[in-house]
Amino acid sequence: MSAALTSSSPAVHHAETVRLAVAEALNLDPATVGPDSNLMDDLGADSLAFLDIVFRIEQAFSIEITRGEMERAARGDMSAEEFAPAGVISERGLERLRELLPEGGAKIAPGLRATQILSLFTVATFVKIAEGKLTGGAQA
Amino acid sequence: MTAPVAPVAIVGAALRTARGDDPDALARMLVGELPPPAPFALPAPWSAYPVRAVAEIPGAPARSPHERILRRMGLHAHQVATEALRRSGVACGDRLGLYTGIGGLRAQWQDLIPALRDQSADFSASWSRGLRLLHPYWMLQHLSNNTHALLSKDVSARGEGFTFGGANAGAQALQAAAAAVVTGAIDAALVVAYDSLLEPELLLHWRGQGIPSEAAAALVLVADPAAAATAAVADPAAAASPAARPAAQAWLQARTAADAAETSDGDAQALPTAETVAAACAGWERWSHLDTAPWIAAPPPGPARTPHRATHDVTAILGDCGAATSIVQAILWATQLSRAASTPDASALCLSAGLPGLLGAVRVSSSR
Repeated sequence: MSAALTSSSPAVHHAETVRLAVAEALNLDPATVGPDSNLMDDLGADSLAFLDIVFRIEQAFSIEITRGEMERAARGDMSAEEFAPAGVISERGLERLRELLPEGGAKIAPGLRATQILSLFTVATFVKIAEGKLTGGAQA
Repeated sequence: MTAPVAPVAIVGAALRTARGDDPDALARMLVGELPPPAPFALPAPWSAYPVRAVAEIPGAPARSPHERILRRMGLHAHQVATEALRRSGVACGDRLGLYTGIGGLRAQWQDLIPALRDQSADFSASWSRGLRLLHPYWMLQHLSNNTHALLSKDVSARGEGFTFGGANAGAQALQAAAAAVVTGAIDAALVVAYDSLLEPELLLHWRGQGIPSEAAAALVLVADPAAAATAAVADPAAAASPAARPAAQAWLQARTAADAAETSDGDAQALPTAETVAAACAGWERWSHLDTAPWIAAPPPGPARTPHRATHDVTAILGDCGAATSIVQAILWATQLSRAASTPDASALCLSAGLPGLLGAVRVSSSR
């Protein structure tokens, strides 16, 4: 998040709304949830919890986040076949992931499967998705 | 109705009611030693319905990771069951059964009204008009066996068990659990029931009998308290408190009946008849206390002129707890009888009724 942002800026408000939605969905003390918290590794989310998180973000911002938009957050405009032939993410797909989901860090490595992408998601990933929807940008 | 079985021992209990969660204080209220703290009031959410008062469980259940699946009453039930098991000292594992009773189906209007109020007659654009407001787990959150499934995993109750539904579910769960314990299918049974009558579809048509209420209650049953703590434990790590040796608070028998005459003539509002009550209580003519709501007009069996006979009504102090009533009665009378040790061979015959024509009968006694 940019240091130039003020606490009352929409971006800060969005980030805080997402952070609280994640904490609520996972029944966690909001103080333990940070923008860089990995949802699965750090916060204990499972795949079912992702549905809850998305629902809460949708309600909070009056937006709809589709599965396709979640996928585009990870692979951009690459086709599914190009991104992960036979389910394993290609070298080009990994490059795209490093670009779009830098929060994935060292987990973005050869052998990563498309089904494991949710394990890369942090709170900030959902902030990006929500902001993409709210601003009509290409991210989401 | 099934054949009567031998009494089983109550070795652990816990409950949540509109008057709190202390069985001792509630038992004292039941027998008139303590006055109920205040009349029940009618909070705003129910002011549009033809009831004068409702009795709700004060306070929310403790925070739980299960909040995403279990709603308020399911959480209460999960928590009382866990408490009852911990207090019992009974071992968990393959020989612990779980029996759950949940009140009748509810429309869950608190969720449905926001999703339905802006729908059009042809239900076009239904998603954007409101269905999107339903949580993606909505159906999952209202499965009747949610509490059972999560509880059996959390306390490692891997023996046989059932979930019962409907107005008489608590009594049915007690009856089935006691039978399973007596026949040796399991060594111990964790029995939990919960119900809330504070629902619009019930309050709109409330019969004016008693005060609609809610409760979650659980107890642990064993055939032999002395042996219960040393029962085989398939998974020692999952044992509740293997060092503790449970003591019997009281002994229990449970039976249920459904009044077929009421359903055949289409009267879904009828309560059990005198014949049904008498049949369900056959062989239980000896009792010192009777716990029955006044709307169960059928005469109870037994020696009407027994000198120490006393009539009590758990619904008079707690409101109508629906499907949880039988277990609440069992807990309060087990507490009272174990407390009043100066009265040997005391027993309480507890009757509860649900529509249509459903009867729960529980006999709690101070000795086997």
